[in-house]
Amino acid sequence: MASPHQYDSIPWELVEPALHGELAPADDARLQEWLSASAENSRVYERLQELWKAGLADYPAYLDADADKGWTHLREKIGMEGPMMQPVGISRPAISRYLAAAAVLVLIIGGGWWFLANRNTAGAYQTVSGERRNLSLPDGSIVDLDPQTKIQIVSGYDNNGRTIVLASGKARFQVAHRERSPFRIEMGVATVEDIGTTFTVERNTDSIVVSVSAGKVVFTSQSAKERRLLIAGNSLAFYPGKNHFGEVQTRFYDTPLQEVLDALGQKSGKTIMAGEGVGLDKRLTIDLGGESTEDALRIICASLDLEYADSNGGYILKPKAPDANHPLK
Amino acid sequence: MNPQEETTWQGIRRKDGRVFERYYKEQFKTFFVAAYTYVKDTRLAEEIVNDVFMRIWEGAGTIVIETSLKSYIYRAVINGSLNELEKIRRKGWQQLDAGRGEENGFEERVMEDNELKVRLYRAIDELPEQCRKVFKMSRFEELKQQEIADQLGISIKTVKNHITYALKRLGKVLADWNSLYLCLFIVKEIFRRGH
Repeated sequence: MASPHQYDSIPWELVEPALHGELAPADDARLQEWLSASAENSRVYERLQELWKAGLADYPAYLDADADKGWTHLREKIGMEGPMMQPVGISRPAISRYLAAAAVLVLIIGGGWWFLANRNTAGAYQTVSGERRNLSLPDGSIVDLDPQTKIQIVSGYDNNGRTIVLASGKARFQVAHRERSPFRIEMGVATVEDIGTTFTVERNTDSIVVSVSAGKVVFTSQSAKERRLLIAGNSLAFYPGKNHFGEVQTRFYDTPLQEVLDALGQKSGKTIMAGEGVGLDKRLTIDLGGESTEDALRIICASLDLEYADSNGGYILKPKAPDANHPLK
Repeated sequence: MNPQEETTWQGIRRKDGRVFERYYKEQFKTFFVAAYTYVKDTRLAEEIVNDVFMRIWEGAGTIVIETSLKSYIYRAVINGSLNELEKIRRKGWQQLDAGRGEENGFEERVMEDNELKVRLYRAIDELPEQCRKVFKMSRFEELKQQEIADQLGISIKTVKNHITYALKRLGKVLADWNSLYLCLFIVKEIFRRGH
């Protein structure tokens, strides 16, 4: 693109009418001569054409965008009260009276706002790409949302049962024990119900995967009219479109380590990585059904002379460190 | 996050309504343009921006921002706009190629294009009054130069001069932007190769 000082050398008396489509034939010939004089001239002219047509296309909408009106709508949506920014043009005495009134209002509602700010109440919650979010529910349960996940906490939560709608994405639930108030995840085609446990639910466009880390859950398929009990270490995949239950693989025969780790990661909802020197082409024949994630990792590591460590909420496998006290050293 | 953004974000997290309102009003048009680019509806674009700001206000205590506040909001606005387009597509109201752009750097490019667009629009706002009027009549009302000259009671030569001045001014914004972009690219490359 032309540098700022080169803009003065552009033949504006030709370019400007050309952009309008009002260039006389004789002038058009001069414009073509200028364009063919250098590749830079052509590039500049092309960019100005783009700017004229598409680049400024949304300017009228930009003019219509009213930040003050938008703010009024936003405040109504949030139900926001309390001190606002000082409006332009208000006299000093009026400002003092205004601030005095606002101060009283803040005092009155301040306590309420502080309380509400620390508890996630009924409503929709959504994460975007790259965002993780942790929600604390009124009953002490905790929900961890993965990126691009959408849930709804149903109104009356903890007063009228405990129901959350998982619309899409993946969430991990640590449920506070309340025997008389089952915790439910509603997904339209299926429900997961629990009374006190830790489990992960992942809702995709064509499947639902549930993994239980601790406690028990009951998975109910509305369409297949079937219920399944899952205990700690169990996982289940349900395909609503086919009304079909699929198992998350736990038995492996001569399977590359990477595949085993992928399956274990899917089941546990955690990232399980292989560090340097692990050898992902090593093969395993192993049955991990019913094992918790940690026990499964111990079995894998014992089989391959590896060890594992926590890593950023997941696990990493690495070669076992040499034993300095070994009698043969 | 730069220090100014950090101060703003901490203010929002403390539920300081004044900080939130100031930030909203400063940035509204920028995010509005980003949403409008996709949905081409002013009411819907405002709703998308407001939904994002509402989520930020309500979830500020628990949201973790790893990049910058502005980038975070941009991503949310872009995703919200693409979701709206998907809803429209499913209803069959119009065939739209939302182009979600799964390739790396898609959102970053959208943000950069939007930043440039808003700079150009602000440059139009900053043109001298008569110049701005002539430019808008020419570009947006698609009047011929003679028509503009007749309506404003000025000569065609003056009309041409005004439009030329406006184009030069906007072209300079483009050139400055490309120079800045090139500098940032070079700096990024230096750091990337240094690691």
